[in-house]
Formats: sequence, C-alpha cells, structure tokens
Amino acid sequence: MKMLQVMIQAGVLIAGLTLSGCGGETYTYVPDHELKPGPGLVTGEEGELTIFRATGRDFQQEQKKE
Amino acid sequence: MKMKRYVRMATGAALVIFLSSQVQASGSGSMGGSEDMLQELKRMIEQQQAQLDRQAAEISALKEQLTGNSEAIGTKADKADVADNDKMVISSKANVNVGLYGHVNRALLYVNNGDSSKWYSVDNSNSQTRLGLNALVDTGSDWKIGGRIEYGIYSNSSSAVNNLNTNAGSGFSLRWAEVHVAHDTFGKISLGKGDTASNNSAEVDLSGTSVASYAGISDMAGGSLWYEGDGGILTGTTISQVFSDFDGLSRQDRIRYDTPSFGGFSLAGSASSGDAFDGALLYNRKFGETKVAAALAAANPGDIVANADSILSGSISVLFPMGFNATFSSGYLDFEDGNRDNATNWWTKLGYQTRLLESGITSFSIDYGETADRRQEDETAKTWAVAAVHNMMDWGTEFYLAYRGHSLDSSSLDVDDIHTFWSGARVKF
Repeated sequence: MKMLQVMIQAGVLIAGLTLSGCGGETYTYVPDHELKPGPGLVTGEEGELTIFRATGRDFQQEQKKE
Repeated sequence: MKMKRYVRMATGAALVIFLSSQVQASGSGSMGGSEDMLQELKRMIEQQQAQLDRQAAEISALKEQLTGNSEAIGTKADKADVADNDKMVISSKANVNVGLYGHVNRALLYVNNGDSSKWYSVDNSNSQTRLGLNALVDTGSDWKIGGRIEYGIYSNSSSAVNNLNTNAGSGFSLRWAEVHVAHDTFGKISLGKGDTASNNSAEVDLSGTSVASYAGISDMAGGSLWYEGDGGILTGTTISQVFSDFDGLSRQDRIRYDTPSFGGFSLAGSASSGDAFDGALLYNRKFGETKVAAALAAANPGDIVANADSILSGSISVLFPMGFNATFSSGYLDFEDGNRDNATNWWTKLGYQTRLLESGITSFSIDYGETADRRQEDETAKTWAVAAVHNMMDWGTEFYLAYRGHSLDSSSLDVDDIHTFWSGARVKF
C-alpha cells in the first residue's frame, strides 16, 4: 500500500514537471545547505580565492555556471 | 626661451647700430672718444654673450631634469606592473581557473529531552564547515576538464553530541575528491568521491532556511537520546535512529554521468563502490520570477546501506515572486527482509522571504514531517519546526535561529518529546 502511495506521488511529480517543461528558462539549482553561491566575506563577488586566473572573461562566466 | 633670446640679440644689434650712427654723426671727433665708445660697445656685447651662455646652460640643465623625471615615471609604472604580476600565479595553460573556497558554520545548540537540558557549541551538520579547491581547464574546444577536492572540518558536530557525549571530537572528513570531463552536448562524467546521482534528491529546498531547518532532520541534534519519563530511563535510542529523509546514497566513491539539460530536465546515473548504483531525474526551471526545482531518484544501495534492498526519494520546491515558497519531500526504503514493513518519510515546509533590513533577505519557514518504521515496525517519529535566516548576501554571511520539536510513537518505547533550539552563523569566506 505504501509502495503504491510512493508510486502515485512520483507519477504526479513527473506528470506535473513534464507539463511545466514547455516554457520558462533553465537555471542551475545549488542546494542551499551546500556551499552557498554568491559573494564571500573576504573573497568578494567571486566567492572564492582565485589561485590561477583564467584569461578569458567568457570562460570565467562559464565556470561560475558549473 | 627662444623668444627671449631673440629679443636680447635684437636689442644688442640695435644698440650697435645706434652707437655706430652716433660715431658717424660725431664726424671725425676725437679718436680717443671713438676708442672709448668701441670699448664700451665691446663690453656690452660680451655681457650679452655671457648672459646668453648662462641661459643656454640653464636650458640644458632643465632638459636633463625633464629627462630624469620621465625615466623615473616610467620605472615606477614598470614596478607597478611587476607588483601586479607578483600577485598572480601564472599557469602555462591559456584558460585555467583554480579557486580556494569554503565556509565556517557554527551554532549554539540547546536540547531538552524531558529530563534535562544542555547547551552545546557545535558545528552545524546541516551545512558542515568546509574547505575546498576547485579547478577547471578549458581545452579550447567544447570539452572542459576539472577537479575538486573538499574536506569537511568538524568539531563537535551537531548531529553527534548528546547527554553522554558533550564533546563529540574534531577532525577532517573527505567530502569530494573527483575529476570530471564535461561537454556542452554530451554531458559530464565525474570520477572519484562526490555526490551520487541520488544525493540531495530528497532535499531540494528553495526556502532559504535550509541552513537552520531542512529535510535532513537528524543533522540538527541527531545524536540526542530519547528519555522515558515514566521509568526515568535515558534510552540508548537516538533521534537519527528513528528519522531519515532517505536521501539516496549520499557522497561515495563512484563514477557518475549527467546529461545536459533539456527544457530543464536532466538525467544522472552513478555506480559506486560496494555494488551500489542509482539514477535520478532532475528538474530546474524558472517561469518569470517563479523558480521550480525538483528531483526524483531510485537507488540500489548494495553494501552501502545495511539491510536495504532499494531506496526511492524525491522532492520539489517552488519559490514564488512574492517570496512565498513551498517544499515537499518524500522517501521510501525497502528492506531486504521481505516480512518487514518498508520505512517511509514525508516532510513539508512553507516559507516566506522578505527584505526586512537593508542588509539582506530574511527568510522564515515552518515545517512538519513524519518518518515511519525506520528503526522498527509500528513506530512513527514526528517533527515540527520554525526557522528564520537573515542572509547578508554582500558579506557572505547568514545569521539563523530555529526551534525543532521531536516526538516518537513507538510500540517499544514511551518517551518524552525532545525540544531543540539553535542559533548561529554561516560565513562563506
């Protein structure tokens, strides 16, 4: 019975997400209880202390997306 | 300077002409007078010449000074460039980023188990103190290669302390040690210790209060012992033994593959040491200012989770533009023992985010959840909580406080509720 309930919950979840997948834009979700994205107290905007610096601005932005 | 020189020369020449005309005008005057006049003229010319020489010398000196100043300015600029370069470590590769990151998360934890109360200074296990290195190299094509090493640094973990263990020890725990290769079209392969595909599948949460309160109930005070008030017995059963969100296989030594995102959907699969494997469907999408995040995972825990045959877990969280948010999580563990009831968990949270202070966003939440049959059959653990987190984004700092209550309905134990409270700060450096 509990297995059935879980399956129903999963089905509802998948159906809802599938229907809502038609619009909107993708973003990167980062679990809030992991390392929080955004500025750091001493590292500022980058949020980390850069040891090696990338030469390309685009590359740095791509890394932030990662 | 040149103009002045010409004026003096012209003055001298005019004087010579004037004196010459005077000599002529005076006719044959006395020879002695002409001789004196010529001497006077010669003296004046010599004076003029001496003055011109002094001016030439001054100009030359000024020129030398100017040249010296220019060189000094140039040297100073060069030194500044060198100083800037000294601050950077230059890689031989063209596009490399290596960063050092981490945060410190400490709290004061209060626990009352119905018999006694205790305060602890703890490391918040909801989001453990950590330090890591992140590296990424752009190969110049669509491929990127990277690595990550991260250690948890714990001292008196909130999930470990209890009445009998007020100092739970300190140390390091390896959280990440992986290499990964990523391609825009083909996805990403990760090898080493890190998130399995199912990790965090039951813990998706957009409320902004996860650092104080989230689906992982046991992280706040999981080591606390239940107390039987009627018998006056401190049991050996802890909060973490009766609660779980069944959040997949955590972080393991594994190989993992992630597909690129298709309309917000992506798939992940991993195989871990200990004959464990899992898969997950992930969904992250923004509709205007409304954010949706969800995950659904299935895992065969192999040897990683004792007595478990399979684990299903999922969660969804929605954050609306006005700041209201809702989160739901559910999990299920199928025991190897076919005669044993499966363990289940459900948990839900309602939250609200607002800007009460200029310094950042303040998030509030309330939540409730139940875990059934985790430790044994006919046992249900219930929990409820309120939490507030003030996030000073520009300073990388969050201040938080939360209250959480726990109760246990069990066929084998008659225990008092456990009330917990904590307040602390997480500082990302």
